[in-house]
Amino acid sequence: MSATNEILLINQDKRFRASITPSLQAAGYTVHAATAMRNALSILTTHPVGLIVCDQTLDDIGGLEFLGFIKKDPLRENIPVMFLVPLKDQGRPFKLFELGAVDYLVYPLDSDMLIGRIGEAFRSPSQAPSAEKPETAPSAPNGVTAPAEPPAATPIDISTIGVEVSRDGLLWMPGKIKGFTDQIISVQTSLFGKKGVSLMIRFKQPEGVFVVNGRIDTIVFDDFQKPADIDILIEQDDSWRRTFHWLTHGGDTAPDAAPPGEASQPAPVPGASEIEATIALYPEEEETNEISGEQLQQKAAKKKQSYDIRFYHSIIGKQLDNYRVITLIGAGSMGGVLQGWDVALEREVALKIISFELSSKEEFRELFVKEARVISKLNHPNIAQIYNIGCSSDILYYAMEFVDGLTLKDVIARYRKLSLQKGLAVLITVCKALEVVYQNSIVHRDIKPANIMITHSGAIKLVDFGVAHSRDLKPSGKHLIMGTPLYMSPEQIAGLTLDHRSDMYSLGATFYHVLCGAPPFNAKEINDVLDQHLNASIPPLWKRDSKIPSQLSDVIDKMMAKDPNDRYQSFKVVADEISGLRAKATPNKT
Amino acid sequence: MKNILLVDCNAEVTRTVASLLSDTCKISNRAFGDDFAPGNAGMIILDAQGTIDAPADKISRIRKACAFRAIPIIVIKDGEDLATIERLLSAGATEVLSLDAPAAACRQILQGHLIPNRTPLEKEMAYLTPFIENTVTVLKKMAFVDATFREVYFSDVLRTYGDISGIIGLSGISEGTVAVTFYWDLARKVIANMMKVTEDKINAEYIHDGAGELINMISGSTKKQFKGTPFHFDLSLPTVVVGSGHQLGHPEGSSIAVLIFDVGEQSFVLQVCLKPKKENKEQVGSVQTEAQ
Repeated sequence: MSATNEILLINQDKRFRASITPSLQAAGYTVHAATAMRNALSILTTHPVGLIVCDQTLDDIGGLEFLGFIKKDPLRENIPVMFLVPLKDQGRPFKLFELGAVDYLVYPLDSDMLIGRIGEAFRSPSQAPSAEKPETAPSAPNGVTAPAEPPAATPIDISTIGVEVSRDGLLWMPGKIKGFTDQIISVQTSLFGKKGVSLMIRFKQPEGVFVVNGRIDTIVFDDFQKPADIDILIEQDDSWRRTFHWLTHGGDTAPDAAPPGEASQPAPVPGASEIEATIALYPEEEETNEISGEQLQQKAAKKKQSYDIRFYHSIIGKQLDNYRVITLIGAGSMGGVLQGWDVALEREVALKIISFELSSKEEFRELFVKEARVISKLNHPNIAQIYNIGCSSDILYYAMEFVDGLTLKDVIARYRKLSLQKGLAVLITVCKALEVVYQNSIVHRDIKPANIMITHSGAIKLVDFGVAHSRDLKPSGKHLIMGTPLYMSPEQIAGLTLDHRSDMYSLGATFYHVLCGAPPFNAKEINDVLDQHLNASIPPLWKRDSKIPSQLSDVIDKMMAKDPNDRYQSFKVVADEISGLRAKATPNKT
Repeated sequence: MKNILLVDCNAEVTRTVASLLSDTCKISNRAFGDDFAPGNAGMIILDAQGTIDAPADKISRIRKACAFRAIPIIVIKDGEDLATIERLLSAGATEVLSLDAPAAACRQILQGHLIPNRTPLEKEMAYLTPFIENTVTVLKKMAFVDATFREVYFSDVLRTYGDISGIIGLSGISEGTVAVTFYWDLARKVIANMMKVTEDKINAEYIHDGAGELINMISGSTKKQFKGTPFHFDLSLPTVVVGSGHQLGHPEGSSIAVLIFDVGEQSFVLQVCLKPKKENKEQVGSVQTEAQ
């Protein structure tokens, strides 16, 4: 069993992290979050992480590449890695296990299931690094007598293992074992010290992470740019006895690790992160109409995103016109969002930067500017405002209201659903905001739980008009189909011209999910979800949750009619109907 | 117009960079040598494709020649081997690019690095100023050295680029890390003065005690000033590290302020990453349904 309860959760989705972290903390784990390899490695350097829970994509590289990197690192190869994958990638567990992952789970995650599986990962012995152990005896440290106890036939080859050393348990520096006895370890490390200073040495063993305490006995150095050789007098406790036994007996005493491929098979979970993510498709191009099975396209997209992330990082600590760039909030296929500070008006802003690929297309840049101008005219307290659009050093961006709070997606992840009263209240507010959007001839095109936020003060905000489109602007040439599969309207899927009734459909699908805790349609493949939007009847909401009044179920049903003409023709009408239902549903206060 | 210094770049790299940036930058090319100096370069691009010399060593020397200035060092390297890239970043590279990367991506990344650094926010100066003042005071009182604060820039990665670093972890109401980093020539002078020995007498013990005490005193005196503010922190034990390129942990989403100080012709840096912990507010319970 691991000697640490610390988990490194690597996931780009801030909202996902925010939703899952409290459950893990409640289960007694310390959670460190990272979005990119660079900060993941930073955390691994400074904390005794016992398990890595990793998404398939990091900000800067792919999850598989990260896994491969970790498993080649002698200091970290024994940290078990659990993967989170979308439904459509379930065919890749063999590759994951081959690279050294101990388990995988499918999005969306049930927090109880995740905690259970994490518990198993902590309890289970992780993979032994190698079955073959060279029969080399460890050498004695500088000026130290030979080991008191002769090593077993198959000791660990110390040249292959790395350790980490620390003075305070916060900052850990890598080290290499040069020799050991039952009393002393000789370590080469950049962490400096002097005789008598206490140090901690962290070993990643197949059974988990073990921390051994000791004091510096001697220190030898020649060059201040190179690591020093330090002999550490070890505190004789159980942790050291087990570590010494491992060093001297190696794989002989390794626990009976199940072959990674035989790890318990996860049950498929409905829903997937990719069908909750905004996608962009090129309908005119042959083949690219196919939504699933576009592996090459996905790979190229991930590589493209890696460049985008590197670009977003390059402007952190810089200034674009009046906006100082503080940190990266998140990135999607269309662009990145960074937290900024408006020096003129002295307020926090979110800066949306378009991706390099879209930025390099003049047609898109023009459209981006035109549409931002239109959207900036939306003046409503429940709509995140665009403050300014600018181009600095050829970087096209817009500054918008910085909204700090929870999205409805976070709420679903944390509480499964909103109560009927709160759900209806939010729906009415969003309808009123969308009515303003509609009156300005704008189609949001990506209404979903992740784009409706509840701020710290409890206000509702409709956010991310990044793929919004003005009906008054006619893009020339190839246009993109955009949206999020779980909530896309049939006409959006078909690539037809959209109006506000497409947002009506997506809003219905969103609140179907918010009110009953499950989306109206779900399947393993995106194609199947889209097919259901096009052809399947909506499972009545009241059948999913008997507490939902049938009248409300009928309203959502009408919002999601296949034919836009059969839907409500304005959001105001929906808001009025829901207000009536809400009044009826409100318990009488006597 | 920014100056871009190409180092050891072949014709293909020179041509590529010129095609990407020549409209906004002045580009010059030179070979690497012992006398390397960055001059007024706003960016250095090093060609490490198929190089026989160890590029990491060259990067370290270029980084040292930059004297802690925030000059981006872009390395052009074949392939995308992660271990190699990590090694080059540890040596001091800001970014590693391949000529195979899409031109539009390279252009944007390069342009991003060419944007001038931002100045600190008022709220950032509120916690940086005590660190600056205490660094100057501690150096003066303990090492009899006149240090002058030169400039600050912000980074999203906390790495040591120098020979000797004293590092201390911060926890409590605010959390983070503070690290002071010197190149050896200045470290030797400062530590010798602090320990009241001649420079030739300096050994591991003096280095450990000197660098550790320095960061402890800078952080400790600043901690006192922060009592009762959202920036208050507790100190862990100081750690002394030798060599450069060590990546240190820091709280997610926080900026790392790199404060550069001059001591005569030499420089050192204090890196400060301090993040007040946010209160965990619960929003869902109090939804405001109508616009206020």
